[in-house]
Amino acid sequence: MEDYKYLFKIVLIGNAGVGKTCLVRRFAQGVFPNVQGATIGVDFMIKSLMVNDVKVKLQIWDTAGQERFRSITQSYYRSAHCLILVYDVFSQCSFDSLPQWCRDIDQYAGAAIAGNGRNVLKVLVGNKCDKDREVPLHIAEQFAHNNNFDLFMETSALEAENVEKLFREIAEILVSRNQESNGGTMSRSITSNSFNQSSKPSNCFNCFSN
Amino acid sequence: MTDMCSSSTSFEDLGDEENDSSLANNNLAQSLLQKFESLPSNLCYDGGDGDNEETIADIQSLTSSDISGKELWIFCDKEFDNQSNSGKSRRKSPLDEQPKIGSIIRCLLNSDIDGLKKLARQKFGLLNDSLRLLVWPKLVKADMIETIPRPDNREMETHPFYTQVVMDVNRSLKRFPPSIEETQRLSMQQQLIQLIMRVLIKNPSLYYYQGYHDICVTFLLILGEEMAFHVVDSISRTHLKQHMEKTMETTADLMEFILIMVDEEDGQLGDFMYKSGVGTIFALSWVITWFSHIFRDYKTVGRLFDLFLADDPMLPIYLSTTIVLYKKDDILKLDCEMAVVHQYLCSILEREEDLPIEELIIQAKELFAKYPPDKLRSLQKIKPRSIVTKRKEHSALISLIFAILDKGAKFSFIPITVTMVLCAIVYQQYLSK
Repeated sequence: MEDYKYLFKIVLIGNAGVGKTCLVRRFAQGVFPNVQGATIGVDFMIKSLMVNDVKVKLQIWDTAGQERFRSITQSYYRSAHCLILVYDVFSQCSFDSLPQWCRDIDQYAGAAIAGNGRNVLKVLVGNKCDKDREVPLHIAEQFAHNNNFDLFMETSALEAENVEKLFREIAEILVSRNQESNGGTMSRSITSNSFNQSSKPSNCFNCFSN
Repeated sequence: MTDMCSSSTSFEDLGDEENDSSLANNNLAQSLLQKFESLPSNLCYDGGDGDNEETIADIQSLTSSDISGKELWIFCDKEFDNQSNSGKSRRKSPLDEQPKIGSIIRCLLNSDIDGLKKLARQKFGLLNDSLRLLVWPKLVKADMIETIPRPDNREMETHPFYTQVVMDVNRSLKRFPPSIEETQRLSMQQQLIQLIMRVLIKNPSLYYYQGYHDICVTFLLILGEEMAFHVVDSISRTHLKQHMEKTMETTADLMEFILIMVDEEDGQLGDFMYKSGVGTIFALSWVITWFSHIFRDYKTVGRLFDLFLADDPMLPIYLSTTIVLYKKDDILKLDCEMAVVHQYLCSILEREEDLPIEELIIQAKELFAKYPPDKLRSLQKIKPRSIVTKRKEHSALISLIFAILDKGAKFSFIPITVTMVLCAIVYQQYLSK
């Protein structure tokens, strides 16, 4: 048995090439891949961190960005505790796609429950902030506000800017939500049991029931 | 003649205009065939590691005048049968290959496509890139005479998939052998974009998917741009068509066959995988890129392409199944949890040297014979174990029950009770299925 208290599932979504895989690898492995091939399907990485003396394990799912894979990756939204929608601050096009992604989130994760009775934590991330920007900060902030995102941040996987901070804040919010709803007494086994049950994508490629 | 032979296996020459034209290829075929026919019989294998030397030496050493084409065939088949269950090494000895090269060249001489397909499926496939250059276009009956004007830049750049293609190609560095210099790689990446866009513009009904570029890289490396275009154009309308529809629904359906076969072949493993809820997305990149996205060994990828070009478009599904079955013992040791099983399955091919590819190919063909696609489709109908299917059925049944109850309410009390009891029995039966 691993000695973590909470296990949270985080799913990264967003257009192809906005840097989802690089964000995950920067956070989980501390590296920035110079040339990162396209993600086909889904993959995940694990990283543990301490939040208020509590060990939290983050299972971070990275998804293919191309639109035609969405029907496959959407099934992974449902069981997520947190969805990170990533765009590229250097690409207006990736920002313009956000409304469609938001509709997908509402449709497939709207009813998803992270913790007790709360909706999934919605995070907007503008990656590649080391580059010249096409998307102004205040426009993105406004978008995040109007679309009920719980958190908005600009990051740079290349320069490791805000990456650790992003995942740490997410972990802190998820921990505090869990502690609030359980009076701080939730045991690891309860969390991981509920996670296990919810972690089975219900609409993926041939996911079978027990 | 020798120069032309060597150019076919040297990456440095792959981008040459000479190789880009079908004319050059025909000349190459002629030179190989002439070499095959004319070289003395006493030359032997030089043991070189590179495909280049190997090919030439193989061609030289197989031209023993006392072995007729027919005898070569027999020898090759016997060799194949004897070694079908042998060890893991991909290449046993040059002797394995020599008679086969004779067979391949004989088939090329006689335009025996069925013979070439048979050889491509057999152990070690088409052996090396020189032979692939000659045989692959024949396997897919690529129309090399048809000339398609290259689309102009504007036409390409305004195409809906252009941005995605450029993005994927620009980050496909890993797919190019390290022996290729950067400047040449960059020019090949441009050729790759042209190649993909030409196929997409020529076939407006085909939808590009991420991973298609991985398949195209392999063809570009081995065939050069022009020939690769004809071959990719051909297989996109046959082998890859199922993945190039507007949605990935068909692909998703086909992938379901993996678990159906695993379950049929090994109930314990099937139960474990169903229970974990792992699905089949772990094999998505295996199937839609013909394993080229994940296998690092360029030679293994070439060998698998021999097989897939010569065989049924569904074969990648069968090979994926044999890989899962081969790893049964390791899978059953895992925690029965989706993420754990998914991660393990995704990592299997990273240690490709552990996989006895030739053996797995034989098993895949056996699986194909045992569970042809039609049989799998009927199994899929009678084994609706997927959550999707089950949920659909479940809601349909519930609506039916309520509809009956609603109708029943208009009549007297007794039929309602009877209906309810009947419904309950049906529902219980359904649940226990």
